Parts: sequence; C-alpha cells; structure tokens
Amino acid sequence: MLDFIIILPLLVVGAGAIALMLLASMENLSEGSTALVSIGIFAFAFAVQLMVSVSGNVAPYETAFSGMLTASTFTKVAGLIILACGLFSCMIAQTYFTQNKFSSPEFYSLMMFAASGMLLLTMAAELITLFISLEIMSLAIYVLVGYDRSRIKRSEAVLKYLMLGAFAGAFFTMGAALIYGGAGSTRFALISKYLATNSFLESPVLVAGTLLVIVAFLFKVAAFPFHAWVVDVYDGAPLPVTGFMATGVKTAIFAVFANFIVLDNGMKGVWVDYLFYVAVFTMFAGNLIAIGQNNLKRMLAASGIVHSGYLIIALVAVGTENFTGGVIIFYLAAYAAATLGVFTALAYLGGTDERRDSFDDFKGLAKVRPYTAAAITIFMLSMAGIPPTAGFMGKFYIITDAIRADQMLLAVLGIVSSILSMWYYLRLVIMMYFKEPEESFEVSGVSLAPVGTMILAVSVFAIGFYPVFL
Amino acid sequence: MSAELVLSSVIFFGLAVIIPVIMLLTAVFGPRSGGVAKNDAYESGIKHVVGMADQKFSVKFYLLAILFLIFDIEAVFMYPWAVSLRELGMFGFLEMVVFILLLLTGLIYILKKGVLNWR
Amino acid sequence: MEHTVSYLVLIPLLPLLGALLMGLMYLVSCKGKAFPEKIYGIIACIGPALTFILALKVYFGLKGLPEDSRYLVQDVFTWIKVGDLDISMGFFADPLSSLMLLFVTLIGTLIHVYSVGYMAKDENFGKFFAYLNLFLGSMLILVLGSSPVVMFVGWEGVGLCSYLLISYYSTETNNVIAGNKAFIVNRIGDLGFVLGMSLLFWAIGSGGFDYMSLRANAEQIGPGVGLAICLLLFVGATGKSAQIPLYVWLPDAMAGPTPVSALIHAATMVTAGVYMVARFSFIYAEVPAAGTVVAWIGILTALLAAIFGCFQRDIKKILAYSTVSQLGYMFAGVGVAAYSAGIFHVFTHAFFKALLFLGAGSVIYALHHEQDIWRMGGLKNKMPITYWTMLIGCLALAGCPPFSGFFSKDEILFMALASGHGGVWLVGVLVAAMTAFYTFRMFFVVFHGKPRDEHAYEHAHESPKVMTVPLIVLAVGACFAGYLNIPSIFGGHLGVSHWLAPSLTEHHPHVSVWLEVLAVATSIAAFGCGIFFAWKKFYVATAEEPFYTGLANFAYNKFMVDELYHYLLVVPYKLLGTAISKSIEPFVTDGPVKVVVWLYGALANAFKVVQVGYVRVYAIYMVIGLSVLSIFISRSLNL
Repeated sequence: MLDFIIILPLLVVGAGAIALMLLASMENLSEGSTALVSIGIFAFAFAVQLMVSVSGNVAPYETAFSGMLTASTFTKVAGLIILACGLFSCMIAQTYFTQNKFSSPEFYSLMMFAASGMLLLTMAAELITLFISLEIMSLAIYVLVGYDRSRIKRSEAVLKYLMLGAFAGAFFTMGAALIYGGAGSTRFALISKYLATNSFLESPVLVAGTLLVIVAFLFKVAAFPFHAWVVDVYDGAPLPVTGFMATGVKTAIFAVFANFIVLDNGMKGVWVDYLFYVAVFTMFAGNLIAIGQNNLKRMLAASGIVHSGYLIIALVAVGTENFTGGVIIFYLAAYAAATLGVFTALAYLGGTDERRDSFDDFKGLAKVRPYTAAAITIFMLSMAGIPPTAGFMGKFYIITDAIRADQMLLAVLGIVSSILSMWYYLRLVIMMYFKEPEESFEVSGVSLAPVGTMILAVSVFAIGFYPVFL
Repeated sequence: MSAELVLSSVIFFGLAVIIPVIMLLTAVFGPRSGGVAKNDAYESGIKHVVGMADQKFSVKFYLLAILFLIFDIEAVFMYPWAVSLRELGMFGFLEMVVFILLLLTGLIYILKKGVLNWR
Repeated sequence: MEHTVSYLVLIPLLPLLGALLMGLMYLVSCKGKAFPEKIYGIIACIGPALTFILALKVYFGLKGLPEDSRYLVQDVFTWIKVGDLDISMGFFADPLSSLMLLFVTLIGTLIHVYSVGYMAKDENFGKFFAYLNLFLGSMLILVLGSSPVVMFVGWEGVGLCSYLLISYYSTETNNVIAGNKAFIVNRIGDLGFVLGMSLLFWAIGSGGFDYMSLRANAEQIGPGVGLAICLLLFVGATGKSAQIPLYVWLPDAMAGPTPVSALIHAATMVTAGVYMVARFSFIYAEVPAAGTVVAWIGILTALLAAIFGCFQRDIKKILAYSTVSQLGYMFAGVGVAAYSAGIFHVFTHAFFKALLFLGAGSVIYALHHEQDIWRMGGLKNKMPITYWTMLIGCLALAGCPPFSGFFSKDEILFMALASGHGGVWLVGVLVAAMTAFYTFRMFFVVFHGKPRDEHAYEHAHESPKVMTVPLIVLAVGACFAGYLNIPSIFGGHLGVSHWLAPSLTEHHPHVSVWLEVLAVATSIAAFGCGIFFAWKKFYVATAEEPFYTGLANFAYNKFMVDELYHYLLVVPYKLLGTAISKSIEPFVTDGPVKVVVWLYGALANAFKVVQVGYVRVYAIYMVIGLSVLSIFISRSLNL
C-alpha cells in the first residue's frame, strides 16, 4: 500500500479532474468558481506532493508498482514544479477568460488530466507506462490547444500539433518495440541490467530503438530538428495552454528523459556526442528563430527552444557524475517561474482575443503600469540569465556542470547563446521603458493573474538564492 | 444409416423447401413501398456514396463511432482479465472495479451532456 | 564561547529594516496620498533609538570582559569563499568600535528626532527618512564590520547615502552637481581603499582576512609593501574624510538638508577615514613614514581649510571648512601615532559639530532658508536657546577650556610635540588661533550687532521643541564629553585612551611635565588670540559686510582650487573622452559589433523562411533529422 503514497498527488489531481468533469455535466458552474476550485485542487495536490517530498524515503520507493514507477527526490521535485505550473496556469486561465469567452469547466478538467499525465510521466520507469502517460498528457493538451473552435488559427495549431505529435508517438512506439525486442523487457531496470552484461554495440535493434525513443522526446521538448512545430503551436494555442505547455510539458519530458538517458553508462556514452550536436543546434536555431519574431508568444516559443538546448547540455553533462538531476530541476524551476510570470502578465495585459501580442503593443508599459513592467523585466532578465535571478543561477550550474564534464566547447557555446538571447529579451524591456505609451492598458474585472505575477517575480529571486537542492 | 442422420436430412431438406416457398409467398402477397431514400446505399451519414471523397458530413456519426470504439475496446480488455481472474485474485478484481467505475463516470458524463441524443 | 554574541547583527539591521519599510511605504504612497508624517517619524526614530540601547549593551558587555581580550564577534553567514579568501558577513565589536557605536547611535538618534521637526511638511518626507536610516545602517556596518571587506560595504553604503542626501533637493541643478561631485571624488578615494585592501590581502590575507588575524600577522608585512598599503588606504581616507587633495567635495556637500550635513558631513561619515586609520593602526605603527605623511597632510588640510573658513559668508560653508580643518587635526593625531587622541577628537568633534550644524539649521529654519551670515545679525534675543547652545558649541570648537574641544585638540597637539613632530605642532597652534577667530567671527555676526535684514529679523522665531531638545542634549555633550579623557596634568587619567588601548597599537612617549604645560599654555594663548581678534573686529566695531580684494578675495574663492581641478583634470579628461567616443568607439569597437549584429539579424531573417508553416514540411524536417541522426549513429558505432 505504501506504493500509493508516491502517486497520492496524482490521485488528487486525477480525482479532481474526474469530479470536476462530472460536476460540470450536472451543474451549471460559473467560470470564476471553477477556476477557484481548480486552483484549490492544484494547491492541495502541491501540498500533498510537498509532504511526500519532505517526508523523505520512509519506504523503499526506488521502484513502485512492480517496477512500473520510480520515485526519487528528482521526480518528486519535478512533480512539485508541474503542480505549481498547473496552479499558475489556472490563475492565468481565470484572468484570460474574463476577456475571452470560450471557457467551460472541462477546460480546467483537461488541465488536471494533463497534469496527472505529466506527474505519471516523471515517475515512469517502464516503456508502456511511459507511453500511456505520454498519451494521457498529449491528448489532453491537444484538446486544450484547439479549445477555441471559433478561430481558425487555433484549429490550425491543433492540427499541426496532432499530426506531428502522432508522428512522434509512432516513433516512440516503434522504438519501445525495438527496445523490447533487443533487451527483452520494457522495464528500465531490466533494460539496464541487460546492458550491463551485454555490450550495447552487439544489438543494433537496441540502438535503433533508443534512437527512436529519444527522437520522440526531442520532439516533445522541441529540440532541433524536431522544433518546427513549436512556434506555430504556441502561437495558436490559448494563452493559459501555451503557458502550461511551455513549462509543465517540458518539465515532465525532461524528467523522464533524464531518467531514461541515465539508464546505463554504456548507453549514455553513445548519446553524448549526438546530444552535443543537438544541444548546439537547438540553442542556435532557437535564437535565430526568436530574433526574427515580432510576436511575443512566438518569441517565447522560440526562446523555449533555446532553453531546451540548455537542458540538453545538462543532460550531456550529467553523464559523468552520479546523476541526481539537481541541475536540470533547478533550471526547470527557474525557467518555469520566469515563463509563467510573463504569461501571467500577458493574461491581464493581452486584452480581448489576445489583442496585444507583438513587441510594439507594449510600448511605454513602464510609464502606465510600472509594477507590471518591472515584473516582466525581472522575468526577461531571468530568462536571459542575468544575476541575481534564478535564471542566472540555473545557467551557471549548467555551465559549470558542462565544464566539469569536460565539455568546454559546449560551455562556451552556451554562454555565447546566452549573450545572443539578450537580443530579444531586452527588446521587450526597451519597448516597455524607452518608448512613449500609446494606450492606457486598462484591465477590467477581478483577476488573479496579477497576484501570480507578483508571487512569481518574488520566486524568481527566491529560487535563485536557493542552492541546488538535490 | 442411423436415425439421427435420417432426422437431420429430413429437417434440412424440409427447410430447403419451406424457406424459398415462404419468400416467394411474401414476394407475391406482402405490402410494398419504395423511393429514392430506400433504394440508396446506407453509409453512416455519407450522403453520396458515389463521387468525390472530400464531401462534408455530420460529425455526429463520428462521435457515435468513437464512443462505440472506446467502450468496445474496454470490453475487449476484460477478456484477458476474465481468463486470468483466478490467478489475479481479489487485487485484480478490485483493479477492474476501479477501471469499470472510471468507465462509468465517462458514461455518465456522456449521458448528461446529451451526446447520445440524436438531435 | 563568551566572545560570540547574537545581537551585534541587530545593530545595523534595525535601521536598515526601517529604511526598507519606509522606502516601501514611500514607494507605495508616492503617487497617491502620502502616509502621515507622524508614522514616518516614529518608524524613523525607533530604529536608531534601539541601536543606541544595543550600543550600550555592547559597551557593558565589553566592560565585563578582561582588558586584554575585550571583543565580541558574530558571524552571520559565509559571504565570499574563493581560494584563500574566506570572508564571512561578520560583525566585530571592540573598545574602538564600541566608542564609535556609542556616539554614532546617540547623535544619530538625536538628529533623527531633530529632522522630524526640520523636515516637516517636506513633500518627500518618507524618502528622506528612508535614506537617513539607510545611512545609519551603513555607518554601523562600517563601524562593526569584522573585516576590511565588510567595512567596505558600509563604506560604500554611506557614500551612496551621502550622494542621495546631498542631491536630496533634486529640483535644483546645483544640488545634483554637488551630489555627483561628492560621489565621484569619493570614488577616487575608494579606488585607493580597494587597492590598499587588495594589497593587504596579497601580503597577509592568507592567514584570514578579519581584523584579529590581520593584526596577528601584521609583523610579516615588509616595509615597502606596508608603506604602499598605508598610503593607499590613506587615499581612501582622504576621499571620505575630505583631506588634501580630495577635500573639495565637502563644502559643496552643504547643498543637502542641514540635519544631513550635521549627521553625515560633520559627525559621522567624514570621520570614517580617521576610524579606518585607527582601525589599521597595527599596520601604520609598523611604518612610521606613512604616519608622517598622514600627519602633514592632515595639518596642512587643517591650515588650508581654516584660511578658507575665515573668508566664507555662507554659515554652512564656514562650518564645513571648520569640519575639514578639524578632520585635519584628527589625521594629524593619528599620523603622529596618537590614535586614541585622534579618535577622542572624533568623539568630541561629533558632539560639538553636530551641535553647531543643528544650531545653524535652527537659524536657517528661523530665517526661512537664509544662509548668508551677512544677512543675519542680532538674533541673540530672538532665539535664546539656539544662542546659548551655539555659544557652547563655538567655545568647544574654538578650544576654550574646559569645553570638550579643548581637551581633545590639546591632546593631539601635545602628542605631536611629544613625538617630535615640532612642525606639525607649530602649524597646529596657528590653526587653533585661526579656528577661534573664524568661529567667533561667525558667532558675532550672526547673533550680535544690528539685524541686517529687518524683514527676516521680524519673522525670526525660536525653533520648535523637537529641534531644541536635541540641541540641548548635544550642548551637554559638547560641554562635558571632554571630561572622559582628562590628561594627568589636570589630575585626570585619560579614561578614553585607556579604554581604547586594547584596540590600538600605540606607545605613549614619556616626556616631562613642563612640555605638557607648555603645550597647554600655547593652546590657551592661541585660543585667546583668536577670540580677541574676532571680538575686536566683529563685536566691538559693528561689522559691515566686507568687500574682499587681493589675497582675501583669492581666499574667498578658495584659492581657485576647484577651477584648478577643473582645468587640470576634468577638462583634459573630457577632451580625451570626446576624442575616444568620436574616433575610436564608432569604428574600432562599435564597428565589428554592428557587423556581427547585422549578420546575425540577416541570418535570423533567413531562418524565418524555414518556418514555412506547412505540416508536411515540418514532418519532412523530422524525417530528415531522424535520417541524419541514424546515419550519424551508425557511423559512429560502426554498425
């Protein structure tokens, strides 16, 4: 029964999702109260996850449910980040739906389903579980991306995402099948045991299978050359969904990616060279795409590619030491706080139908709404990696890790990419501070997003002061 | 020649005679109705069976088909469970109860949303 | 451990918290309705008052310890740890810092109270007190820091607050320029401090960089390096404490509100340099040559400032030059290795100079921001409390026995004579006479004679209680602070010097009683001369506004030092800057950067084309990617 403790937060979110779904079919729920309820559910799940995390390993959680799931501090903190992302995304949604009228309670229900998929994904230690959780997450996200059926842009986005996602899903299934064929098991632990006794090179089937699985992961985190969908989809999706995708999905995938890649030392050695190139190309392709964008959401999507590149550096670097994932999780937390921060601000500044979406639309924001502008600046600086923000510390840990793993070139390229990224991050800051305002940025209605902005602005610093905790 | 063989050949031959006779009689005496709709081929909502394939048709058919698929697959999932029920024991039983309950919530949602009502 | 305590951190923390709180309150309310002044006043005064109580606690805590190990420490957290350099954010209290603590917190508290009255109805009331509290917190970090680096944090903090408060009335361009001047000149000094600190670390830092370790290792410093360290640190001190050649900012700093001048530019911050030299007495004691330089620069500054002081007409500028002059005395004191005498002068000076500034503030307040002494006069009857307290302050400044200034100044001059620095002593006596002269010139012109501006005189009035009470308290201090350190010739036993002894590395020379009598007698004579001339010129003959010509005009214009600096340093520097910005920057540095930026932008636009937006193209990318990866992997694995 102790096994159930580690999936307790998942049960909370899942049960919440089902209950909300049933309730939505019976009662006529108001948008505001649904948002509050779902924020409450996420908060409760967060608290539960926190308790699970701090209680330590009171029981041998290494493998749970006969090796289908695994639990470590790494996965638990990843779960915490995911639940926090869910919480803030619900805040964003609440504010967003005061200005955009296509909400229904199922929206929040789907957010929770997606979150439960993500939670399961972080803990997955077996290929079939992994696939199922990947699909739970992806299906919910597909629906959410296309939630606003009235606009063609959204439908286009969901079509692209669904098609390419199915493509990647097929890669994954194929890869999983090949791995099973090669190693004789779908459980990570047994694959690892097989690899320990048999050379990786003896089994081309395993190599091909692993390649396909990794490609599926790279697709989900939008790494080069599987990144092309991300800009269109992030742009097309409704704001809260984009926020949730950018942070929650990335956290979940990187958690399972790390769990998968460190299966075996022999296996990892093969991938380092390859991931090296992926990381470099991802960072620079992301930067190049981001520089060309005029739309804020598209820029953030492209910058998400760059951040994926950094996280892949961490994966490359993690290899040589005993893996704890602390660096990855720290970076994810920093990235999630800053990204969601921008999205919370956009939620109440965006206006009806996301009217304000380009750099030019935020001209002179600092003069009209100084606090919001300051908060956005903090988030931008954190993403650009300027001390003393969390983003700086995250990059710092990743770079030092890379140096420690003798990946000097990668570290240098990471720093160069970080410098390049200032181009588009500071562009927004310049717009906000050095241009004259052309409108008054009125915000109507009661909204929670400003609260979220404030909390996240503080936490950008708070996370920065918190040392790597794993 | 055994008694069973005789009996069965009698029955089969009897049927072979009686059924065509009945059909013939219905064709002769039964009431008739006709028309374009009746003569058309039926393909769940597709209006024109002959012609271009990129025509629009009601999503309601899809919805029903998908719902059918979901519940159908879930029923399929119960076969292996039923076979190994003895080995799985109480734990397996409870697992399946949870599974079916989850399905049930889905069904309730569908019903309440009125998806099954053909509007 | 009995030396480790937990309340030291509270001393700087309380004012800093106050600053934070008031700063936030001010920020929140700066657009709408401001918080009432009473709330700010209470928050502003509560922090300093509590720190004063804590300072007393520190004092008694130290007193309870045996004399040879009188110190308290508290390490809050490890701040910097790189190689040999291990610096904790720690605080350290010994007799020296406890003395500084006591008067800084006491005078700080009084000036906060005074400011509540002086700054009343100011539109940025909250901001002012946030800065003032921030200043006090920084000053206390400076005093209590356990290592030069922590001290430097406070050092920079007070510099910042000084800048902020000088430019406080920021609507006037001149005030802003004065603030900038103070800040920039201080930066020059700070560079010296940083270099000195780095050199110190290079020399003996590996054994620990807190004062106790440094002191223990001081003997390992070579004479050449020691001299360099001392002089570089002294450069820092000349910046902060306004000595030649960096004194020019202090008179201009009078642009700030008067309480600021009293607290920062008279009583506390400007004495930081003296405190620093005394704090590093263990190094200065190793290098007597450095001490001689310090002493001469100090006493020449005193002379120069005294000359300027005799010709100024702005009441605050007179006081500013007298501050520079007194600071010169202090450096003369620490320069001749009489550290305790120098610090004692810091202590007494804090009282009477704060008193004089606050008194001047009271006069300025009464006359609606009139600062020209030649437009005052006859205020004796209108403002009796201010008059009497100012009289005490002037007597103390002029060195009249038995007021506090007499004992401390006399001790410095005597020590200069006793340690064989006859020249320093001689100039010192001359300056003493001039001090008495310009002090009473100001006093007589302001308070005696006929009112020169009838209109202002009619409206003059005594200041409110919140301002006069601090004056009275400070006057008591100015009267009696000297009794803490009465030399043996007057039957005392140099209490403060003995108290400070464990913190300082100094040797009391043994000289004959007659030398001491000679020193005292000359001091009194100098005072007498000075006051006599002032009395004759400005009291007996009802003085009219003078018209300066020739040398006097030259002195009134401060020997053109500002102009000299301007044409010798600022103008060439600006020319150099313009030249670089016109020639080198656009082509040599900007050029390549711009080319790179353009290239990258073009590349980005090219890359934008790849994002065509068709699913089929994206799917092809994926397939191509997968294929390339497959080839790559099969090649690298030789499959």
